[in-house]
Amino acid sequence: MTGAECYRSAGLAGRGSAALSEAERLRIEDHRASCHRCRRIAALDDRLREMADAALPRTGQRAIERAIEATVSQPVAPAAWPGSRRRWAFAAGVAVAAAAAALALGAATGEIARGIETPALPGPAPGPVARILAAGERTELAHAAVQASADCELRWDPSQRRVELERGSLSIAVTPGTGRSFTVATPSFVVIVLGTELEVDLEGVMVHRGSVEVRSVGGILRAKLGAGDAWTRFDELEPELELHEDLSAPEATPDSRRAPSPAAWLTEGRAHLADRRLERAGQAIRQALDASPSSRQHREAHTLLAEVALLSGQVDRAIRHYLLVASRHPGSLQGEAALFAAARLEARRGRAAAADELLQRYRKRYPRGRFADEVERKLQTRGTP
Amino acid sequence: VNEPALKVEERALMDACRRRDRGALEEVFRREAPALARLIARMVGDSAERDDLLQATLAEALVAFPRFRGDAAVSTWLARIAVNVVRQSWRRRSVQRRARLELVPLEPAPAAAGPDRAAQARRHLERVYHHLGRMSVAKRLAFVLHVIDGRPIDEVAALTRASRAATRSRVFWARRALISSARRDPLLAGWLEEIEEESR
Repeated sequence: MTGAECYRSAGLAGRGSAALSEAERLRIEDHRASCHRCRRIAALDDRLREMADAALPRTGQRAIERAIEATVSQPVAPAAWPGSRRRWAFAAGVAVAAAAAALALGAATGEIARGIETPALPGPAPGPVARILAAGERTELAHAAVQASADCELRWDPSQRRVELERGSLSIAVTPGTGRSFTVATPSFVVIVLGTELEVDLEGVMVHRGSVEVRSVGGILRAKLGAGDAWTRFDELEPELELHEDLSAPEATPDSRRAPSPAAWLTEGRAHLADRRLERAGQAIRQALDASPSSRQHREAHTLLAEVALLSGQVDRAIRHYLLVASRHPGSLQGEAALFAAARLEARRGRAAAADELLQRYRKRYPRGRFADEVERKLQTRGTP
Repeated sequence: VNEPALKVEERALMDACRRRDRGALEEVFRREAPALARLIARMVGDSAERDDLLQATLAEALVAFPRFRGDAAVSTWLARIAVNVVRQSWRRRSVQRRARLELVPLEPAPAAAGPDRAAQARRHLERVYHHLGRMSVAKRLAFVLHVIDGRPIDEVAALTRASRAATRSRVFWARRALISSARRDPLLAGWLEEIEEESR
């Protein structure tokens, strides 16, 4: 078989072969039986396709309906648009208007992200109402749409429009223009919100839109944050773990042409890590940590440092990084994954007691977590109740 | 207007869409949007921007409908718009897509554990899209349309307005780059070895 036919065989895996005749299909199957390269490519393509079918979440009917409604409800110009510039201007206008409508609709319906619908809490109540939200669950509290990013325990005081977050992580969209404030309090800090979108957990807050004030529990102003800003309660503390880092490692030389943002350093660190340039990856990621990272960047940086340590064979250091992520970001997906990863690493090191302790901590903290089944199996295998 | 392939009712529907009749547009969008959403999801992966891209596609279609000649099926025409919208979004993006590196698997996943396997597949897919995000827009587009969405090379070439040879070449180089990245990725290396084992 020629090279072209060889390619044709490889490129016609799965659904792409629907247009083939039976004779052509047989010929290709014969070829694949004897060509390892084609078999390998077809297997890879098939696996990718199966994985996408199985693992890609489907766009919900509501999201589709919303997109259609927002599009067709826009005022439309006359059908004929002779000039391309005018056409593009109109397209941009429709897109902007549609996006604005979507935002308005999203705010009106409390849609922060795809999640589980739950009825809004009842109206004003005499005192705070205890509430447990499962990860992904969504509700409306006064003029705010609230979605749990992780399992949450909170108390809602409708008269004060105040959420007291006791556990977990929340995404909040407060409808702007109402003139009413909305407060999220944690044991360590208080966030005062006026028309904005933000994420808050017990460790800090990240603002997507609008602005917020972060105050101590006693009311002292700690930070004013705008869109794109983040604050963690550790920002004012010296990170303990960095003291354990390899201080003798040469400093990374920042490229003067590149903005030294944490995101840029993390991107560089990931690229080095993917190419197994571990020392340079570590340097870049530590630079990200030095550049006032957001809460999300902080946990990603330490997760990456754990991977660097693992690939360098420094398992104990990897465990330290994972435990740091788990303790500082318990309400995040990475915090959950890090706790489980630390437990597995302890088990791998043969330290069964430490592993069990971490697994039990996981079970207690994330009873319906992503690794809950595996944790149960491991604990049962070890005979731990 | 040349519309040989369209039936009479379909032709009337398309005419109404060209006049931007709201009912007709809703009917066509409702019929085609699920397939468009699926196509966009396969192009961009599990990304928060999927809904925005779907809406941008519909908004573009709304504007462009008066120019729809009916040479191709409306589904193909809308798919082409979706491809262009995604391509423009990729080009606009100056910062590389962020990927969540959650953890390195240290033990092989149990073969029969359903939820674990699904979670692992999600993590693998996330990494695959991360590596695809580092390729050129043209290669990435050709690869996701052909390999992940399962469209034949000719159709991908038509959708991306490229020659057949260029499309084949882009898929080839994208696959090669993905394999190379996957070999160096701690999360995907084992997965790739497993596939290679299976194909032996």
